[in-house]
Amino acid sequence: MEPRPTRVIAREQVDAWLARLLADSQVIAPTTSEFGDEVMAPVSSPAEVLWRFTNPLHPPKQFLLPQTEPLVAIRRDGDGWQARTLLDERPRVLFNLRPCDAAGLAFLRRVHEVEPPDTAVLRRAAALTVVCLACTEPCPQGFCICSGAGPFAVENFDIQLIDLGDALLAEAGSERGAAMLAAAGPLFRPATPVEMRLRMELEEQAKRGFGEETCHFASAMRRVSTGRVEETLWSAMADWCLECGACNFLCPTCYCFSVGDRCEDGGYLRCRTWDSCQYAAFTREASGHNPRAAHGDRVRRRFYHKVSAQYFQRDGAVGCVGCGRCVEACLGTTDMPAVVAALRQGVWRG
Amino acid sequence: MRAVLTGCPFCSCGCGVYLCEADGRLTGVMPSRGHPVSAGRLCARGWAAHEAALWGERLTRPLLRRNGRLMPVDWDEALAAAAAGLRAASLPGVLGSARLTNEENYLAARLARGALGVGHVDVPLRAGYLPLLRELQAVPTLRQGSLDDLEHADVVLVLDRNLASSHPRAAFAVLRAVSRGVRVIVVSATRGQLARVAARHLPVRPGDEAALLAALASAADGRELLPDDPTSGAAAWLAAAQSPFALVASDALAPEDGAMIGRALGRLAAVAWSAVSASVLVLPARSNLRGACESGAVPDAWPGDLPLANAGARGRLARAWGREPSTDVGLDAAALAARADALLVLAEEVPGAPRKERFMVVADAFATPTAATADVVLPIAAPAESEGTMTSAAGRSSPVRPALAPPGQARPGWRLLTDLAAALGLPARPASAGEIAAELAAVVHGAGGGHRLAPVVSAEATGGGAEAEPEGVLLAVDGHYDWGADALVALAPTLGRDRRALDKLYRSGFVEASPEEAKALGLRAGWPVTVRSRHGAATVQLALRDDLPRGLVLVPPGFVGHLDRVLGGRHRVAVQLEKA
Amino acid sequence: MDSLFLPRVARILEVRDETPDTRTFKVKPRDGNGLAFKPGQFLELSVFGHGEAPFCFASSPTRPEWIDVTVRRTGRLTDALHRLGPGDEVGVRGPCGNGFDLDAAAGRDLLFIGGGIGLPPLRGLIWNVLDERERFGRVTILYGARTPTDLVYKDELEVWAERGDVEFLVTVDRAEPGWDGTVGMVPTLFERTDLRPATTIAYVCGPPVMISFVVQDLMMRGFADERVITTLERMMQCGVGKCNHCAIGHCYVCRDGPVFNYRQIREMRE
Repeated sequence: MEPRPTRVIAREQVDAWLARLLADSQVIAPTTSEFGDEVMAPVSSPAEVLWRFTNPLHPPKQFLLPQTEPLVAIRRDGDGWQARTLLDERPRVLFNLRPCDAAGLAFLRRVHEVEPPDTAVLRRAAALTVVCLACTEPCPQGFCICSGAGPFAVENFDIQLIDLGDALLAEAGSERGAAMLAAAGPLFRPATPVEMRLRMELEEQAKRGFGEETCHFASAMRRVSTGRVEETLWSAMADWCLECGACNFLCPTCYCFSVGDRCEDGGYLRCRTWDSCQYAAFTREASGHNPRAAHGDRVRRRFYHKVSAQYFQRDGAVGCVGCGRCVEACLGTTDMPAVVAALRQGVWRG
Repeated sequence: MRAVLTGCPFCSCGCGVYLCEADGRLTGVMPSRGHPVSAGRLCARGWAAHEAALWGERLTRPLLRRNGRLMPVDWDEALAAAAAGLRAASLPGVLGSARLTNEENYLAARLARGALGVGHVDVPLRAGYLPLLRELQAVPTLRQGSLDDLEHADVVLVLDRNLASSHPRAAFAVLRAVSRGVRVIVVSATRGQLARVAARHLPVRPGDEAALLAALASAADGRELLPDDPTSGAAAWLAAAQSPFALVASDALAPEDGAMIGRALGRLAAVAWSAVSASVLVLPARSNLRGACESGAVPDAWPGDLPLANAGARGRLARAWGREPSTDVGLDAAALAARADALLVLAEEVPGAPRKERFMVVADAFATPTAATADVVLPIAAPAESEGTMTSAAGRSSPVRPALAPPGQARPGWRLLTDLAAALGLPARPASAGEIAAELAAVVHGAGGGHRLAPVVSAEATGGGAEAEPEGVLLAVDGHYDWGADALVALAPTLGRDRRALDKLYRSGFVEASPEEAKALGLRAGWPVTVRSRHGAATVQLALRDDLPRGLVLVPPGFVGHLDRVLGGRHRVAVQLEKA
Repeated sequence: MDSLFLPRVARILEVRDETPDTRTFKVKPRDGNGLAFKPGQFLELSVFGHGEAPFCFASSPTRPEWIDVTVRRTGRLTDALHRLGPGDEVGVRGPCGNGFDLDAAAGRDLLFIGGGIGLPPLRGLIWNVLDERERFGRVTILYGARTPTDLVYKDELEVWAERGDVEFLVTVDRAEPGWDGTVGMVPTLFERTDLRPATTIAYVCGPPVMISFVVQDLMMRGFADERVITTLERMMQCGVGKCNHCAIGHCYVCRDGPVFNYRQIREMRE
């Protein structure tokens, strides 16, 4: 791997850099909402950007795949019906993204490249600049180390920032990132060998902070991929799931959706909307027949998609970045670590 | 791009949710990690809280029926027509709503008692909730509990129907309690999700809940300890509990039984929990039913659930409204739906066929079937566009904040109600939702501080519940509320699918029975079955449910219409089933 | 750049009633260009204002002047479609899916087994085969429906019956006055024809229960599972393998299917 352009910016200069980024495009960063929650949202000034924060619950995938996204505008004029593609490729900088979320965005981009590629999504992804902030300490519910998605990102970013204390180390992960650093000119200076060593130590320290591995994907993957999981295990799990869909909506790598036309201004907007494989209606056919009528079958489907070898081969990564959101938001007890443990042990304890 | 934190408009757990808006349109929702009830979680309905307002057909202009057709008119004309119709009636009624804010329900009461001078104001669903709640509030040893308290209890008694579906946030609290080792006892007619995971499931035939609670009380009291009686084990736990919690899904109980069951639970509490700190939480189906009741949209109390005999409350209201309010006990929602010759319906559906002789004013955000039958249609804001407060089942008041303005000429509900009251001659006109909230607080609390006086003892409280049905197969309505027809569900693409599938599959109605029941009748899923009671008979399709016991057949509230002849207006009835 | 979800506007040229609740719509894209498709593929048809739904191509690409879509009225969208007539516009998006592999069928004997509303996907394939008749061996068509009224493409059935290079047998579960043909379910037709499992590829389309019985019958008569071809149905939305509604395991019915052979179906795992 070629050495990456690595620069350092002093703490006092960061706001100036942010101000420049804000001048050129929409900047989305962790910020405190007017109602007190930490959220990823567009900011209008550097002061709104948070540097110490719990990873916001709502994932940044909403900026690539919004919960409701108009795709096609359909209207009728004198010549009959007309349909036209809608495309949002507004440049956006996702700033202070966590490595797990950067991995999630890259995953989503890859699945939309699969033939036939969804060019609209890919163009929107290309318009996203990812500046991620490495995690120098593990977050309480995260297990990114098990998915290879953190605590420091290895790829999937334009710039990765590492907090050295009085300065931030910025490593470019792409040509765009390198160009950004170059364009910021004197705000950045080259990193010193001491700073490079500190960066390496911080990464090692962060990894050690995880302690024992929390999520053994490999053995779960083997069992799920070869169908060696008892039906009764899935139906036992299903009793501890309330089919809320949060695991799908908050998951950085989930992308299931439905398509529907809604009325607006005398015409129709064909929209993509988030949907959940945990809902009974997801697979119900027009005839009423539902191949996944049993709740346990839907739970099994979710984990097959996330953790099977078949999908791993197709997508290049396991469908979980270890962000821990499902642990926090599950309206039951069927989060990823709990299920993976149950798959390994063959027993669900609720 | 804005994200506005508001109260979730669906069930009564009291979760918070962000509504996200961009360019004047809702785009989605976000959970709130810091919210005291939802703490970052949302159920399937919460995740679709934006959908109905975004996708559903909206009422955007006032409409007046002329020559049989609803025609658009301006607000002044619509308000004048509505006021004239209500004033001319001999029995006008006002239906408040569990979907509207506290302030809007207060204004509904104000309109009835102040502007129209009648006590005929009620909220559909009140009858199945408030009598039960009042009984429990009267028990000195029971305090109001929250879902957090439930998780820290040591023994939890749940009167369940299907909390996993009706109140997922509450079901989550029960799941977490079970996983922490809390002793959870579920009393329910069906062996549903919570019954399966709980430490004990006590099956109960609909109608026998009070008797079961009495048996538990007796056993807890040390009497009639039968070692192999399943209830005695549970009773021992209840008796030994140090921090017990009772969770009651009021829609599991026939409305007529509410007060009786409340008393039975009260007696159990008195027997088993007099020396400990015991909590109770009653969960009604719909979001602001508690708030609507406590804001005065009830036929037998003032705002604040204060007795009509309370002169201090009457005086404060008279001063605030500029008129002496009616002190009459009015007809309830069911009676008004049957007998009123003019009805103001706020964001609700009126069951049954429309009556030609009745003047209907319907205020709603969505083009509902009830709105289609109105004489005057007044477009109001959807919950996503509303401002005010709502009160959760646990009594927690939380803000409702608008994420965007209502479309077209639709108005905030509170503004419509003050305008309509003014058209009916009521002088004062508050200028904002905040002013109304302040007025409501002032009239409820007066000079005496924040606590309520002793709860009203109404006629229903002395009732003994519905008459017992003979042994044999029982047909019961499965819950009080038809969620499938709720506009916020029906018009949401993600949520409305299940009901549409049922409507398509069972065009002439259905009942649910256990596979064993079906086998005994020689029937398979989907086959027609004749259901016969002493009131009448009907033939519908048979659907199978694994969690039902033999001898119990259920019909969802949304499909009760097909079985009207059989149920005879009751919540449950003894039936015979035959292959059709 | 066109969205994957962009429909092309098409005009309805003609509407034909097949049964009381089924109609065939002849449509043609308004811009005059065709839709290069294979039999067995499907298109996403938009009824503007009511949404989109998948329907198989019921015509053959050897007759590209129009596209036939045969639709039974079952819900809101199909109700709305049935209210449209010649000159009205719809949207078409596609082709989606894998289609039947005609090259693999070259030289073989072909057995088409259709049940009720399952004939439309086979019809496109049958006409494609008949339009290139010399490429294939014997052609046998077995078709059954509940009643004579439920038979679709009634005029074409007569054409097939009369052709000398096709063996065509039809049956109904229940006769009606005026029916003097066979009565019985589709498998009863097996006795009336000379099945040659070793040289034949069988294509089976119809209601799931019918497919199940027929396929089992064919297996018992010695057909190799790779040479029994059918189409799978699932709830679909995007039609391009992205939304995940139609996923079975890691296979997408809309993209890797809807045409599968029975060996593939046996190996499918949720």
